[in-house]
Amino acid sequence: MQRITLLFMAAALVGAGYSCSKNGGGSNNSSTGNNDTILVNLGNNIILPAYQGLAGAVNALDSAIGDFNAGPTASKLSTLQGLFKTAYLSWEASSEFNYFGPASTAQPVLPTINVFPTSSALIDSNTSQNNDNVNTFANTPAKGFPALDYLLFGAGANTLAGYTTDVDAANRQKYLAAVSADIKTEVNAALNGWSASGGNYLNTFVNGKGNSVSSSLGLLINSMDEDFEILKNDRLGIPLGLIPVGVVSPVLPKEVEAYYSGISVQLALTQLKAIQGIFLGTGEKGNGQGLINYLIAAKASFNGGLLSDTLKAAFTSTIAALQAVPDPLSQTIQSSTAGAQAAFVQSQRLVALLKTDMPSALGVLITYGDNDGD
Amino acid sequence: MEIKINRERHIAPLVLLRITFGLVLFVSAIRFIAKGWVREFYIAPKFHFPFYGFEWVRPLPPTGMYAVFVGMAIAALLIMLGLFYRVASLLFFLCFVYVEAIDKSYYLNHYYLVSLIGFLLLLVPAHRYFSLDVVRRPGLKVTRVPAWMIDIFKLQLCIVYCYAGLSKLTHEWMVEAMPLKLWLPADGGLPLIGPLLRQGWVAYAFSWFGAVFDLSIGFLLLYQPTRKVAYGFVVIFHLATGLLFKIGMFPYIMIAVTVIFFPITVKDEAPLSLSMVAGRRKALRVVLAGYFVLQLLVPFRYLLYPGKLYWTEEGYRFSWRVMLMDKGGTAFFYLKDARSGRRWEVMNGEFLTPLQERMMETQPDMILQYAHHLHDVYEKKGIADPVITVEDYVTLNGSGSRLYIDSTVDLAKQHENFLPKPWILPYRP
Repeated sequence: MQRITLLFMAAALVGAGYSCSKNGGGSNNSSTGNNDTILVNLGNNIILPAYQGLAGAVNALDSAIGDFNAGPTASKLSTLQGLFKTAYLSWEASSEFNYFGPASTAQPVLPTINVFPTSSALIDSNTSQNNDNVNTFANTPAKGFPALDYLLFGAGANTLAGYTTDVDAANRQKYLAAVSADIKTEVNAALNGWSASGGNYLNTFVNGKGNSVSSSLGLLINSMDEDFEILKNDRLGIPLGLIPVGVVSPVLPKEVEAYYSGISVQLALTQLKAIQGIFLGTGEKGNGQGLINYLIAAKASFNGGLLSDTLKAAFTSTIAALQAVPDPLSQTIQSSTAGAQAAFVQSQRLVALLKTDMPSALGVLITYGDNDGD
Repeated sequence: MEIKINRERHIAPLVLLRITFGLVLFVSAIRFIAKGWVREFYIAPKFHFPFYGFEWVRPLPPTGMYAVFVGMAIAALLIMLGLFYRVASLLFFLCFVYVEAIDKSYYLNHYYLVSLIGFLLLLVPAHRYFSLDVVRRPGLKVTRVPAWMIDIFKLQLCIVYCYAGLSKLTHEWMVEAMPLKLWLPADGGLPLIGPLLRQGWVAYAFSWFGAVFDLSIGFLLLYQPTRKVAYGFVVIFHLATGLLFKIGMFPYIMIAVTVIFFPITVKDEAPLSLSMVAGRRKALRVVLAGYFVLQLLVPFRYLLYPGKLYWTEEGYRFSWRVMLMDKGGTAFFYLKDARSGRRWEVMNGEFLTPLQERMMETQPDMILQYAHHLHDVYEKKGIADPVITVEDYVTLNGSGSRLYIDSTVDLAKQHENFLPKPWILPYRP
């Protein structure tokens, strides 16, 4: 009885009702509530394995670099290039989780190991001056995966010579090892932060119920949306010249991700599928309990149909549009931008659904600002 | 409510209001500074959204902005103490209204209410009893003031509650329990009432209760036999809203200003009436008549606009429409060079803070202001008379996002005025 009384007291309060007139937050009946099987699946079967996969790949890459530096050969370089691609693809499968939790509280934050385009000039000057302290603010554009991309593919057929006969060969070997070691350290720190044996953020995550901005759901959706905007803007928009850089931006092939190895579309596709995996709950070792289940439970509608169906279809069509764009993206867009532009347009619609409709249906507030409502 | 011009009342309710209002607004100003909002809202943004007709209002340099807030806090404290009241109340009003006028992104109904109460306090001698001004100059003391000086505050608050109640009598609020059906479950984690908040019927109970409360509370506060119980409800309900929703100082402001409904009599006191020059009384009468006519009419201005109010938001502000809708959007602004035909998507984050961007995306007048800003910025960067269009996907009460603004219209060629904006696409349920 007391509960009912309290409830009614709280009910009338709404009367004087001064609260947010904009996206206040709240989910439909029982959509989030105590139902944490989705968080458990996302945490245990998708997020943690994604970081484990990335750590495994960068560790393998790092030891192969040690082996390569001990005696560089063409075949070792080719092994290295393969391992680099694997690691970079693993990065895309985990980058969605980098804007909350351990990856976002590290110093520097984990996303600094994929700031592209890289500065080949800065890397060259660092190598010639034997400066391998990559973990400084100034060296942000000369570290991480984009730096490896340049170091392992940048000179084309002459790449191996850069580590053997070139005057800076020894320095370059050192720089390559330093960039790789930095990636390894940062990635393993993030993994450790999530692991049960380390910081155990996994436990915090699966228990962060509810849908406030600071709940696991709120953090995950905001992080995923932020990462997806990088796909739309940085991976596609800027290279295509669809976003003003300065004022007039023509097609800018050198702005693509992985310009030297030429796997830009593959990377973007991996990222997009990872986001789809979070949505469907099927990424990595997922069992099919994803964000979509919240939407289904909430019976969220979209212009007469179901929002879950609309989003599923939007993922499918965006992936299809991107699959139609051949790698290397930097060359494709110099002959025709039509395909990549179509993928950009599809990704815009998906951004709106992910940033506006999904949070509204789940009552998750998309905001980085702090203010009172009225 | 009847306002008899020549009736007198004890000044105590005014004094109590002066003290509670001053105290709460002092805390509010300090809190604003302490939360870093002066920097975040008024110093960091590169662009602001001033109100129509007040485009000349600009933020001061950082030191100046902090000075305004410190001045506001000191003025609120002086109002509470009743020290240099006339100057303090004017200073408070000017600082508060200035800050509010800089950027409509931060508009809140309770800030508007504070501005109005601040204005009404300018007109009454709330410092002439139980104040440091009276200690300073005993001759100022009066015990009785014309009843209207107290009644104007009651009338103002009755208007706020009644209009808030009237605005809830819609299909969405009463029949669909929107948007509470979307919002309440967010607090499902609260102890005790949490599990109930996730029940579908609870949103209906809250919606109906809210409407009844708003429509009746003003009268229950006016009517002597129900006054104490009604005030108890005011306190409990506002504190409870504060618990459920992120509304900052609002509950405390309402609890502070509704004290005006209590008539307080002080016994064993020689009556000292306020003497007023006839001309001054007449002038005040004209000012207040105009003020209240506006208060009654302004919230109804939306009737002059076609289309759905929640969608177009034409005539939405300054109308005591609170927590009536859940609205969100994603806006892609395009910049087009008419000569080359080339088109770019503008990165909103380069010009707006996340909060400004979020508010702009669902409010057409802000969309227009931002479009003009983009036009000017890129014209300076060398694109002759750029065309600015927007593809804005907006969802209202969980309807599903759809295009909000005609994406073919060059917004740089549209101009702000009080006429309906034909480039807002009609809402189709």
